[in-house]
Amino acid sequence: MVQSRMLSNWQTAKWILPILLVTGFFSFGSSVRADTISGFVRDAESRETLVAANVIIQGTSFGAMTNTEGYFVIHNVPTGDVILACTYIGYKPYQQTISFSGEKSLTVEIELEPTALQSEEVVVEAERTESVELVETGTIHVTPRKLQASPVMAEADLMRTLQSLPGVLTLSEFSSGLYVRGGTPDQNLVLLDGVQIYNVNHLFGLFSTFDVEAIKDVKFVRSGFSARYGHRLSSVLDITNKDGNRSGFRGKTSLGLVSTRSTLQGPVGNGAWFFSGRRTYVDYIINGAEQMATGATRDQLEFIPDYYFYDAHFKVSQNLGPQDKLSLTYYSGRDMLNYDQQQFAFSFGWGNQALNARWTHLFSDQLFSNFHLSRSYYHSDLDRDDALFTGKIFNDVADLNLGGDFEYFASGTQTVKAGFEVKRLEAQYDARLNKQEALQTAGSSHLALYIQNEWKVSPLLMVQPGLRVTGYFPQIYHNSHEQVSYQGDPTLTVMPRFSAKYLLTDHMRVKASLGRYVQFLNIVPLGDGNMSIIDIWFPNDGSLPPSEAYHYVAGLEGDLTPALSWSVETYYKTMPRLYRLDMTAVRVQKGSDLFHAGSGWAAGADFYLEKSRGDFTGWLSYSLGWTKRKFAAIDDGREFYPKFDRRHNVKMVGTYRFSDRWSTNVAWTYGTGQGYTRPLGQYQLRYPDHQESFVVGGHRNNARLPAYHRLDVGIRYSRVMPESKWLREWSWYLQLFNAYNRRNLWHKNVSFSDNGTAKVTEVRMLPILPTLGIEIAF
Amino acid sequence: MDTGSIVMMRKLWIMLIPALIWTGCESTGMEPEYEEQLVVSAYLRVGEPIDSVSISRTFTLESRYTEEEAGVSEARVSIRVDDKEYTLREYDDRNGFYHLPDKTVRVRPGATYELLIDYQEHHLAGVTTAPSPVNITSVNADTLPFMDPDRFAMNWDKADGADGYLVTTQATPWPEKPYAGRLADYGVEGIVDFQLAQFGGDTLQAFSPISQYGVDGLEQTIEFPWHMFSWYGKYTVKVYAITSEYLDLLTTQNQTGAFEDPVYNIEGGLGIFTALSMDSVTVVVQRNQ
Repeated sequence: MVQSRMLSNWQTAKWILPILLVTGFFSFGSSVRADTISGFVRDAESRETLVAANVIIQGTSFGAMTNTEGYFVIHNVPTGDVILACTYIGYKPYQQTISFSGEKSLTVEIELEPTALQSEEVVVEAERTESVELVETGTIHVTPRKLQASPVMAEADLMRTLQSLPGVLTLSEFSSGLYVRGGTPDQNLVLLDGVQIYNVNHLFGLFSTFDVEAIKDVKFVRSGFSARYGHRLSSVLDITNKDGNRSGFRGKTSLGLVSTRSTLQGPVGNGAWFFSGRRTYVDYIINGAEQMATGATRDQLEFIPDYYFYDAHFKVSQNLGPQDKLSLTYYSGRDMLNYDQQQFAFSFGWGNQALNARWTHLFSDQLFSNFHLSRSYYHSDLDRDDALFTGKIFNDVADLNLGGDFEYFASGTQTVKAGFEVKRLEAQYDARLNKQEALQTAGSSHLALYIQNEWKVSPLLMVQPGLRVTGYFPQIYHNSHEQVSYQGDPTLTVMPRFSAKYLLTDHMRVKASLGRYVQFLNIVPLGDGNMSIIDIWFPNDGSLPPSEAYHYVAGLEGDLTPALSWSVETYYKTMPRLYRLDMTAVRVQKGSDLFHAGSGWAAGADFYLEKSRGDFTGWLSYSLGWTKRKFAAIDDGREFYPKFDRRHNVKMVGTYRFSDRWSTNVAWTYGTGQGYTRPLGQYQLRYPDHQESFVVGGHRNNARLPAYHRLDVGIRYSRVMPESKWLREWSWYLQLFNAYNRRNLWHKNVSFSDNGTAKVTEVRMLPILPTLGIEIAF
Repeated sequence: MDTGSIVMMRKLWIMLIPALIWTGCESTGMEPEYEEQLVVSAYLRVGEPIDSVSISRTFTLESRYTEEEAGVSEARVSIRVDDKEYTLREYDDRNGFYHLPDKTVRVRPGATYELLIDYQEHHLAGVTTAPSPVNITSVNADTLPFMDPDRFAMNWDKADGADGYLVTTQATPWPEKPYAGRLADYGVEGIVDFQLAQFGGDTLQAFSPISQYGVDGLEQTIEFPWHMFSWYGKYTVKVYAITSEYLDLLTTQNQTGAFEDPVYNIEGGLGIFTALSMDSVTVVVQRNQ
């Protein structure tokens, strides 16, 4: 009776609360201050808005940072002549003298001129604003310039750039999954223009699904993220894609070793459109070679699987008036691996589709809002039908989301952010073996509300308290075999979040954050522990409490010079509730039959030094970290180090620009050995009809592989063609991945021969890999 | 940068560096040691005498594993059922294999058996409850043309106490070793040896947990696709009614890189002690003319 009343109250509330929120803020929005300057910051050429650009009133402490739509508000502007200054990496500093009367607020449009050369001597008082304004700990903004500056394996890749940042680890060179401060890739919230993306891998993790040419800004929060974000335990990767060039048609084509990609963009109506597409062509090359080859060569080529991936992104945006902008985003990406010989045939495909409609509305100069309706779909299927085996595994996740975010620039000392989210999540998992089938479906609804206040308590102290509340309503869990249905109980989760920053000196700040995080989605990785072949997503059906984590972060940051910044952050994460698949589960009637509960923790410190301007730019990081897990079903319940635990990590990334045409880049990564389970012995187990050999393993991951290190170097030549009517710029690049060809150890395998001997084989990662490509911009 | 910041940074580094050195050093006592363990492979077949209990030992990876040296002799092995304890004896000609000499004692459905093993400092134990007999009620053919699109279908009665069924096909000499010429007929040499090695020479198995069948009704059924019979020749098709401990082993037997032990039910050691019932039929796969 109590549960049904609670369910009824929440089902009513999930519709009333968003309405109250919208109307409440609408009433706030009617009050306008007269001492504000607000507006947008744009790229002067493309008229793209710029995220996290710094705008200040020179000679004062008043300033602001643009939000994801390039919008800013500065309060308490003194009357008289003021100098409005704006800076952004990769652009010439902007200054404008404005006569401000104070009788009414002023709206401006700031346009910044791009520049390739970044002098260190430029006084960039405004540069401090970004670091000062950002109260969230663990946050790094990754700009397209930073992406292009990072050395590549075959092509520029967002996830590989993030892997070079402190606090971020990977399992191997075959994985683009991010292990952030002791968390796992499934615990990272990945948003592409506000839409949740469930799988970020192409080519089994060698590349990510994000085309760097389409990216405008990336906000990466490694821990302690604010109340605005939910659904995950570990980190947030918030990617904003470009809107498109509003000034004229532009295009860019690049041809690399693995794939070719094109971007096209241009103005349309009172806005712009943007398209980017990428596809591998290795399958065409192999198929073409097969047709031309004969005999044994052809036979050998036929054994190579057909593989390709593609992704395409399209966005169109329109300004409907000075206060309104509408944009529509569509993303589609897929990987496909086919192999078909008489005795062994399989196909393996996975991919994402996302569609997002977004309405940006300025209720007033002080009240900024975004509303979105989106659908994200992830699908994977593994299908085998050959002489030995017939079976299929597939997983669908469909995520329908309606949400709104409000930003109220209440005063020069307070910005209140609030929002709501209504989400419907449905997942289906189906495994078929011959005529046998295991079909499981689950669905859930979420209602989330959040509010946070960025409050400058004093000129030296900023705090950001926040609260996120989530109502979780699991729908029926259905197992088709036993025709079982399970209806879980709704859950109300309250997640307080808090961040603070204190200015110790003009160039040094101390910061801290803490928060509670929950996750209602479980993942079942299918692989051998060294490489995830396929991930199965399954929402919590209410029979289990959600996964849970608590973050505690504290750190220092500062500026040695305007171009040289540093930070030191320590963190402690406790994860009192994590889940792992129970491999022995057969009669599954609900989620608690399928998952073991366990726990974990992570602690460490990240040191970061970045030079962002001048002929030489780059960063140096050092991370010290521990993470452990504990599950009753693993190693008799002993605490163990997961494979992604690495004690020390050093990363150095640098780009040196010789001239306006030539540049070189280098990256060096060092990490002490990952944990692995040492094979200690062997034995045979007799079955009724046969025998099998097994390995006796030591305690889980209680030994360490050798240290990992790798050097990547590259060179790039770019030439601008101002005289050409059609060709704006062309460039070529040559990269050497793993330049000194260190064959880092990935894992060890044990095989048994018929004569009773066991052989330990070391499996190595990638060798030296040259890659080259050309790019043409028109 | 101002003087105050410089001084503060110096103080911080003075505090941090020793802390880093102390906390970042790994302890050297992490390397695990190899310890010999005993491995039990014990199967009780419903209606049969108790004659299939083997005890072996683990070897180091560097050693060459032989059945002769692995077998554990002179262990004290007993089975307890219905408050009676039976002592097993080792076979004269097989190291590490034990049986109950009294062949009148048969494994009974529904009875719970406890296995006890003492050997030097090792004390092992396991428990299992025997399912009812399983009976194949019908098959759709006893002769199959090779690669025939019609599938081999078999039905059997549900066995009480069973948590799943394991179905295997095993090629048997007829009159000689199975003729593995199928793939050679298609001009693909070499793959045959691969297949034989993959499946222990001549056995393929399909695993059918009980949850994949309807719980209503008495009949259990499976249809085999033609590729479960990879060679011409005579096959013994067996269905085993198995209980939870064997089910756990079968679902966890594929060791990943973490070398996790499968889920075993032997306390104090590794391995399996389980009761099962079995029925079988014979089918001949003929070469296409």
